Amino acid sequence: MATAVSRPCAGRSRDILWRVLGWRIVASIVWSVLFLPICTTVFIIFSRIDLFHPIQWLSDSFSDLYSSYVIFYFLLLSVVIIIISIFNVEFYAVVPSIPCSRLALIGKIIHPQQLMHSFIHAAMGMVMAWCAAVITQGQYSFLVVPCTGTNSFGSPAAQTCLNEYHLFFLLTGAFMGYSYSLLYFVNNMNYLPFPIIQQYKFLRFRRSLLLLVKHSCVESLFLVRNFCILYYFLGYIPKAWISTAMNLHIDEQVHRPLDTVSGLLNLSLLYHVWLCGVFLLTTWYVSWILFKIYATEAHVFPVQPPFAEGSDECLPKVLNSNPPPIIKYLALQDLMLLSQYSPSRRQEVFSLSQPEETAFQTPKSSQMPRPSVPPLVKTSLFSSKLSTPDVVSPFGTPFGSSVMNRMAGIFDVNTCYGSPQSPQLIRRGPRLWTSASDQQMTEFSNPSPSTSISAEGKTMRQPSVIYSWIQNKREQIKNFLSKRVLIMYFFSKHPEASIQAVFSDAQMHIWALEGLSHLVAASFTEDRFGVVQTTLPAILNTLLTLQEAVDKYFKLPHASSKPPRISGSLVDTSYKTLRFAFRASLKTAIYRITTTFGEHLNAVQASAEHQKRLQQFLEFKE
Amino acid sequence: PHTNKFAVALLDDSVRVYNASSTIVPSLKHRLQRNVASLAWKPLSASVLAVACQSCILIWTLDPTSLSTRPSSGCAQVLSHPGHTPVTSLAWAPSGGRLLSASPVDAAIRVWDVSTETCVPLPWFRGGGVTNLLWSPDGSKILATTPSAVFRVWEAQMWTCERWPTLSGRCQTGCWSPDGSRLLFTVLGEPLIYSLSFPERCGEGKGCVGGAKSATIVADLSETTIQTPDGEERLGGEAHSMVWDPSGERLAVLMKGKPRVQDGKPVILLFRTRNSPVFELLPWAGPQAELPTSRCTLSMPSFHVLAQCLGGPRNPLLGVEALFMTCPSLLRHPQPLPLGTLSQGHHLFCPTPHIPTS
Repeated sequence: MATAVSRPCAGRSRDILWRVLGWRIVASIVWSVLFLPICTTVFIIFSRIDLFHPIQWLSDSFSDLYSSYVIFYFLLLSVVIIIISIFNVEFYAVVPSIPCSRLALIGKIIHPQQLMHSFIHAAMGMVMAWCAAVITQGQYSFLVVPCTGTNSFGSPAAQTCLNEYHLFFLLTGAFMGYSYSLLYFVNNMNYLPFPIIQQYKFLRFRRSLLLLVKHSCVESLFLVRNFCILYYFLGYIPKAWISTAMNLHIDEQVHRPLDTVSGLLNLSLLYHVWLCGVFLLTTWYVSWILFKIYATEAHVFPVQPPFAEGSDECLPKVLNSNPPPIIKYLALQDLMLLSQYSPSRRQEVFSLSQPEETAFQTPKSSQMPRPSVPPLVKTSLFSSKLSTPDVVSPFGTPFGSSVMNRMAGIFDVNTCYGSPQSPQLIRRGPRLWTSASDQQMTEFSNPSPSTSISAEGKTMRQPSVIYSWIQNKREQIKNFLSKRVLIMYFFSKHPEASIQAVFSDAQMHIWALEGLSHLVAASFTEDRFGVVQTTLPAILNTLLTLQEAVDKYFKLPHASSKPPRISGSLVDTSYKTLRFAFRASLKTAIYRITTTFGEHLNAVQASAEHQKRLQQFLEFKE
Repeated sequence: PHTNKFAVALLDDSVRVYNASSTIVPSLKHRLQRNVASLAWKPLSASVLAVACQSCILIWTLDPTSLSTRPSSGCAQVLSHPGHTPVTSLAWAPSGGRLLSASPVDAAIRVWDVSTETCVPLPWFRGGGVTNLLWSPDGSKILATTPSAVFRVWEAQMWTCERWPTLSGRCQTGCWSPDGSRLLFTVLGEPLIYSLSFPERCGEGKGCVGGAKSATIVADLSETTIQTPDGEERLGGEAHSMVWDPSGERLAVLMKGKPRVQDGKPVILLFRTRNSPVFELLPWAGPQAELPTSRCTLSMPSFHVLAQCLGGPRNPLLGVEALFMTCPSLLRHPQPLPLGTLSQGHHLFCPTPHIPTS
């Protein structure tokens, strides 16, 4: 692709991204900043807890709230939240990246972008912990305090000592920030799951708030415990460094040093550190959840562009072009919703190919009646790639499927490193939206003889002599390495993860299926011009082919086993079971069409095998 | 909802599936399947049955072509959420995508996505749990009845609800018109049928239920005495459950047995209805036009009656297939009564000659 063409494309995609998502991002940031005073108030109240003097406790807390320095801390914390939100925005993904092997997981964590993310989060964590420590007042507020011990010189020369509690606070903050970032990537928290039902944003937020607070409390407890262990062993390093750098003394008489067991068992310190952790995690999770809620809200794309300039955003254009993934997801979600709930928009869909259309709309009219058929046609291509693993298995049968997976894993070791597209390569299909040049690249990197290169009908290139010598050497090295257990430990692919990776963008296809089947079912009564019904044979053909491919895929060893489900956790793991949702929605889509049309379907042109399957669906025998 | 199959839950915690076209009766058992309270077939599928149990919901996927009489536990998917037990009411969305479940202990209705096993709780309100869920056939509204004198109507687009306090007692039963624009319901303790209309929705993309301001009484089912060729008969009383056929033309009301009426036997009353342009509810005059109401009287010598009324989609004339079974104890096999089942739904066989056949 020429760069001259790609630059306007990139510019257009950023443009449409900003137009659709812009106000959502800004609104979510504003709301997370507005939530901050509530969090801070609760934090102040809990940090001054004094159960024996409740009235004084509450009045002290509220009087502290009105003091001027708290306003300064509000501003500082707002800046922190804004920075965290910006990171949320930069790192989100609608398609989860699932590492298939341990090496890929390590690669994901030590990727430079992720390292920067972790570093910034650690720094922000330290800033927040500093604010929290200062707001707490008391003995935790300052890093440097005058020493209280008497010295042998007799003169009360004010020596400055290191306040180890404050240092402990700062380091805990940094540790929590770093752990948050680590868990963010390991648990795929940058994945944006779309809600299964549409609800008003406030209701969604209210429902998740309680779970969020509970989760923060528990996680803070674990992090404090981990950090205490870390500090016990390694706490002397920062202590020594700070005290020599700032020329401070360590006062041993006021309190015990913290890197001992007796020092660490200071309940007041632990309580305040835990509370600081809860405050930090709650505010960060709130900004994350607000971003998720705002970003996954349904967006209404106009079916017919009202003006010529708005044509970029209209539904057929978005579905047929290659916009950023989230725009495509939102468009497909909108298609699904309009096909079920909006009779007037459905009428627009069904009416687009009227002869009295204006001239500039006519080129698009042929696209609109089948906005989803192109994606679905591609889906069927995608699925025919899914069926090629059956071709691979004879190659590996003497060794069992696990060895076969490992062999396939070795072949893909270079390509599986940190890239979201790579897990697909084990199942040897280029991803749905890759261009032709990428397809050629994957052919080169995949020297397995039974590849789908022939199955896909691509022409095999005549290998040159040097190329074949290089391939032989590569195979020899890989065979040698495969016998080393340590290498295998890192490179072996986890079958469940590979299967999840194949279906990681299935949500898009599920919506396309639902939208298409609802439109076809509605067209039985609402389509006056036969716009959809002329394409009915093609649609049925595609759906039945897809059904066959999915059935074949689910016969593979690990495909039909469900991963264990943890309920009540903040982390969303619905991407792990997307393949079942895909299979179920495909079946429901076919049934929807057969029950609506009934016996009329016998008049549709289809191959003999498809006729047989259709008959089975009509008799409810599937 | 598409084939002639029904499922019966027995007291021994097993579920049997009877099929009109085969003699095989698969019996479904699972270690978590205890105290089954509700069964629901999934629309737009061949054989997916949701079973509401004491501690969870089981989704059985039965192969329609299989000949086994004891499907393994592997065919069952377990959906559970802590605190949402016992599950007493289930409702599938007519589009087949979502399952609603309600429990009297948990005040929130849960919306499940069965394939990914995730659930979303709807906003909950005080006033006891939810006893019954009923989805309108067009998929737009849900009736949720509670043990108190309030019922709620939810709309399925943005999931907001409207609250309807009744005058006395809880909502006993309800049924929706096929296009979702009218709800007929009865209240415990009153022999009346109320109607609530829901005009077209106010705006697309926004959720609003849009119910009328108040419900109107459309039928009075108080006891009356009717002259029949056999002598005087008393009919009437409170309704136990109601079913509207999918074409919107017939309404069947199962009346509770009262000692003075028909010797305590339950009775089904059939009405002819029309929803557009105006709603009307008339007693159905069958071929015997001299009878004010067509009624079928059935004797049911048992104390556990499981009545399941299915609307047959291929049934233009008599839109009700009614099946009555006795399940008195664990030991005996449930047997259909001699006046029970229908094969294609065109006839309601009955020994008494009053029933019009069509």
